[in-house]
Amino acid sequence: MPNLSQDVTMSYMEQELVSISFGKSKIDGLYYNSTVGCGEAPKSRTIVIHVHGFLGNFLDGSQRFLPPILAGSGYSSLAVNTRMANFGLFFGYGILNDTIPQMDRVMEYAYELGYENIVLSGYSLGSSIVLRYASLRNDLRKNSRLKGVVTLASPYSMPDSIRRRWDYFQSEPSYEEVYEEAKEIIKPGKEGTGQDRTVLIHKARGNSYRPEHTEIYTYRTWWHLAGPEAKYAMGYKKIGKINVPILLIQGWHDEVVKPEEAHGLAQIAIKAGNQDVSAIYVNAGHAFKGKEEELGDIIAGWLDRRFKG
Amino acid sequence: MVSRQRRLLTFPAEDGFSINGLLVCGEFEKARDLYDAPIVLLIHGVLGHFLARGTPRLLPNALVERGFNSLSINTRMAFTGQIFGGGILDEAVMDVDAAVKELIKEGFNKIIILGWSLGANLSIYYSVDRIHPNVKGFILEGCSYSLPESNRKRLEKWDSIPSYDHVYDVAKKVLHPDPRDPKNDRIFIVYRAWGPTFEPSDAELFTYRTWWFMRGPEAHNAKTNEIIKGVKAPVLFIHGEEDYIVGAEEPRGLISILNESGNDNVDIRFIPEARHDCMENPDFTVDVLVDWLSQF
Repeated sequence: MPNLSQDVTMSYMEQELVSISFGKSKIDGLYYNSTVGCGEAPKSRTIVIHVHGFLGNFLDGSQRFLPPILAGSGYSSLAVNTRMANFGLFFGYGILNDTIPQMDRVMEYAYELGYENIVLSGYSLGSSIVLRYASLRNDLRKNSRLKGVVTLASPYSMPDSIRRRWDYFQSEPSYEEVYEEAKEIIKPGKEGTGQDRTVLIHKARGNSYRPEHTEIYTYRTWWHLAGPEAKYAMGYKKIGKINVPILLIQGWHDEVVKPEEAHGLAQIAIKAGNQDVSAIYVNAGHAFKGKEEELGDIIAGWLDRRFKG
Repeated sequence: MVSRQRRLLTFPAEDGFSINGLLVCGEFEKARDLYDAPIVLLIHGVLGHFLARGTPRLLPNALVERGFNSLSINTRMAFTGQIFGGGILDEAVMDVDAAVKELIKEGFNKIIILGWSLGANLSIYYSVDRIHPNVKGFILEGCSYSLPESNRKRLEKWDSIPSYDHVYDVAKKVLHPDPRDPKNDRIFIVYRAWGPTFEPSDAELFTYRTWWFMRGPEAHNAKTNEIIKGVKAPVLFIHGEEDYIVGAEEPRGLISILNESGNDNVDIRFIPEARHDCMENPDFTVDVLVDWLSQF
């Protein structure tokens, strides 16, 4: 704990919990204001917005460890909890496309804070949100503040990635069984009729019934994130529409997303005409454990080459 | 001058679990004034955390406006703890203990623990397991008589699927021979646990272990009625007049036990126009708390 009787702050950043007004609700976030360059050199006008992964929030994973590293290089960060954070997938409201208005508001908030260059960074599921958002807001005349996209452990297609994983571990129930049930429960005309329910998938992430190998959805959240018709979660259908610089970072030993998925996404973006696409591989697993500094350095270097000077 | 502060803190429990907390402190003339002022340690409810709506989210800012500091923590039972197996009530007491020790290390000497719902039951377990002399009192909001009994009644009320007894039977088999061993643990769903439908909002999720130690018939430390007699510090119960999750008779029953065990410094205040979350009536609730906290 800091010594409260003294005004002790980290020398290179200030940290603030923020509640961003959003209609009748709020979007929670953790703002890391880099103070590097607050002296004679001008402060950076670039901020990175971090979006969490599956069941994540701004208190864990890359959303937590990256901002302080980036702050040391002069880049502020805003890590946010979208409606897919925490329990969104369990209780029915974590629908990927419904995060778009939230992201619009977060972008606006970053601008209100004084940042003109906004880079979106998504981890795993968060990368699906970021790719969907950047593909939708790709008119640079209207969205001139969006200057770049960073994805960490991004699946080529969330539905395909989940199906492959469930098939591999012989999940219970199987992907097809969930699909058949979901069709009955949320088919057109049944949305909002109180038919949705929570479903457990055992052996979804490993070969046991243990909690860490289990996934939880409602049929509705599954349909929109993992089902064969979840087009908004198919990164490969989105990345070709993005025309700002893209950095894809992938772990060689990722147990959830295969290394070639980043390669496939990069190829599609390049073929679509994006002149600034990079894919970088790190000797790490899905969570980039033990490679936090390296990951931060890669992103800071990428930002430096585009936004410094 | 000690300036006003709102900080995110992270510190470990004795087993290494990382606890996040939100510290909110007011402005004080001298450091001594800061540390002599009461600080409220807030413990969240089921699936809660320090940003969850209601008391955890609203109370720290309301209290600091009235001159009281707070530290609101995420224990291992926060977020998905009870769903993915980490949220074992008997172990969460280490998180409360770590927060108390952090505050003491900083210099605070008047710590009041405020537990909301599940957090209230956890606070009582802490108080009988390992209280520190700097903990001067407890505020228990929406506190149930016994977490296992409360769960059984609720599941029976809504005719849950599976039933309480069925969950218990399966839990005994899954966790045999030692419920402390996590190797065979798994997640399960109780449909119609909070209401009459199969919708997600009426469902409840646990692992057999988290259920066993929080809701099962053998969850001894969650049976607040059986352990509360060991609490000797002042206690204030606050309870929404319209609370439909925990009945008014439950805190009243706990007060009787406390009185019978010789603790007369116990009070209860009912909050009008509030259900399980007393901060549905923030002005009334904060007035009650400030009045009670002022004795310290």
